[in-house]
Amino acid sequence: MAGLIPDPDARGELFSAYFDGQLAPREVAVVSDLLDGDELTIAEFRSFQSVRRSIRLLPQLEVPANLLPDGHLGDRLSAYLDGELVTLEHRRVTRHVVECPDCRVELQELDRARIAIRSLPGVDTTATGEIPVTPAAGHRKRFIAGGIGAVAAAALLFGLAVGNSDEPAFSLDDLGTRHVARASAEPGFAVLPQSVEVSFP
Amino acid sequence: MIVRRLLMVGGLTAVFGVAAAGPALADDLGEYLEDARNAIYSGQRLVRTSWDGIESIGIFEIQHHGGMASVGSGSGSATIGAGRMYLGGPEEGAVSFVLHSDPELGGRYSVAHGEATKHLGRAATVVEVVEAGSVRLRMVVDDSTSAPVATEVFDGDGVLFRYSAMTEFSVWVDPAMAAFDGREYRMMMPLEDADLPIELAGYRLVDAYAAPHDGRQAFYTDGLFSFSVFTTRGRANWDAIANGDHPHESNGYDYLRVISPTSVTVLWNAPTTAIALVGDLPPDHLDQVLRELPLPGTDNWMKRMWRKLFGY
Amino acid sequence: MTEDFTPTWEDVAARYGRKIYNFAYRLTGNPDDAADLVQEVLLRVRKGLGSYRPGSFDGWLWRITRNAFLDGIRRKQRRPESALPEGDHHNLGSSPSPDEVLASVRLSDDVQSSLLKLPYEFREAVVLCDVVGLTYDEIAEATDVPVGTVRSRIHRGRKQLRELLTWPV
Repeated sequence: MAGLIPDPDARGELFSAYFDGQLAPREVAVVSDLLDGDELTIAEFRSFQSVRRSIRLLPQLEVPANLLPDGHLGDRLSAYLDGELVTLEHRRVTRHVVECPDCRVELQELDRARIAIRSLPGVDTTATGEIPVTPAAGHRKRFIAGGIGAVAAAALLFGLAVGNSDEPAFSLDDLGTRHVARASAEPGFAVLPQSVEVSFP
Repeated sequence: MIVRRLLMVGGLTAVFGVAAAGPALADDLGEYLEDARNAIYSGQRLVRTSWDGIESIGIFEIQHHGGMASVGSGSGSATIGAGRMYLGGPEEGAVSFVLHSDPELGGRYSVAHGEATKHLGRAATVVEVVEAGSVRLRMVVDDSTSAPVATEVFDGDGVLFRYSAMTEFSVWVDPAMAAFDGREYRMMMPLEDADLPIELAGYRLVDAYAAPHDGRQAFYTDGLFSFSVFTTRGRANWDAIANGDHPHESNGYDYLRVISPTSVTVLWNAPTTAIALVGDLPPDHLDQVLRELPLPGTDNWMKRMWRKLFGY
Repeated sequence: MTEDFTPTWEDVAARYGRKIYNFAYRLTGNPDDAADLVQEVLLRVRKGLGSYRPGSFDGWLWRITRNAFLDGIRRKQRRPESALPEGDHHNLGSSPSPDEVLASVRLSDDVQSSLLKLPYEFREAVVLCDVVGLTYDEIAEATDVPVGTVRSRIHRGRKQLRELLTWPV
């Protein structure tokens, strides 16, 4: 991408917007090229990630109970319905809902409300207040390793489908490869035995 | 051929990044790891992992030079190091991770310098890495090259679960390895927001990357061990993909587990997410980690519950 | 779901209350101001829901929230540009999260006080993005500026934060 060297301010703005998933593909390519440069540039890139993360990790505070319409579970019901509680919390809420008729009624009504809000004319159905996920940057060219056995080579192709088409297509070999490649940047890589698993025993 | 250098930014944290408050990696351990990284050697390495009585053994031809390791077995080879991986022959592609190695991690490990010993007739020293008073990793380090010629990794009860040893050793490397000139590679750019905890059972989420099927790879490390958690929306038919899988029970939940000589892979579905964890972490660490990740659950369970409560 | 069902302000409160509270808290560092804002917004939603026009619901809600916030500030005769001098920063209303002891992430008190030192437009943009979780388009709609301006404000806010967090006063 020759010839496009943004000034420091423009560069910082690209880096900042990168992590918000707000760059056009052309701009992502510029960032990719910039990161191929010196260590200071990478450090700057990382610094925006750190700062952004610092804000995002601020605890989400609970609203004082007296401010909102009363409910035993408060806004956890909302998170429950959105599938945001995928840990022990989820089971706890379920257990409570099973035992508590008031919360059950509230859950029903809240669910109806969610559906109603989502079907308000013109409402963006993805507007759940979730943090937007950064889309994948475009570097996903497939490659085939010819030196490896045919079965394993096929497994290295992305999107090898096993099972029915609704399921995510994973190749275990591919995941192991990705992990080891990343892990090879860490100090521990030098002493812990690592290998690329291209077939399983 | 274009050479791409490893870009280490850990030392520049003070310039742009935010100051770390945690303890520094024990200087000793950092030095051993650094020396091992720069070691020049080749040979054959036997690796064995056992887990619940299941064993997985591999023998690998190794060439190690300049922080890169060429690792081969009967079915192929890869050149790995510095956040990059090259597969197969010169025509093949490679993948690289824009990386950030954080030397501030590793605070829970300390180093005990042990006795002199010999391995394959060469003078060596035993080095022990200790966590909370018990030995977690025992390495035999070759005195003249600093190569780790043997390693033992223990679980929380002091039971050996991974073992490696050089069965052939040479201070010479293949000239092609010594002159290794990185080919063009595809750069994996880091993403944000893997929707997973930043801190997890002593491990830190350092990076997240795009993974197959619009998924995410979240990379965690504690300064010594590491693992990646792959997630994607939907549910995967893991049984059909994983051969040689075994049921793994942890904290009362059921997972599938596949072991290799050098790593463990754990597979499961949370209600609407398919998850795979791959790493070299010990069994007790794994169980602590699983406890803090999204738990296995079924869609059907939620639908059944709903029907039971509301009748529709 | 019955055809005539419309969401009530209680429903909106249940879904968005926490975000509104956190928006105000992070902007002001003051739990009382945050509480006031929640009540004011819910009041306006109550009044406005009946005449809600088709459009982005979140955009509509956050425009209301922001206007209520600015009105509140004007009413209390504080300039939005100033950092709030008072405010009980420790009355968080929730137990400290494990995130607060992360090695490479600053303590939330440090982050909060640094946030308060940013000029209002930058602070608001960063809070809407990183606390509330809106997209640039949604922020543009809520604050009535072009997306490019949103992007620039967020960048400059983070850049200033970076400097404040690296070299604390």
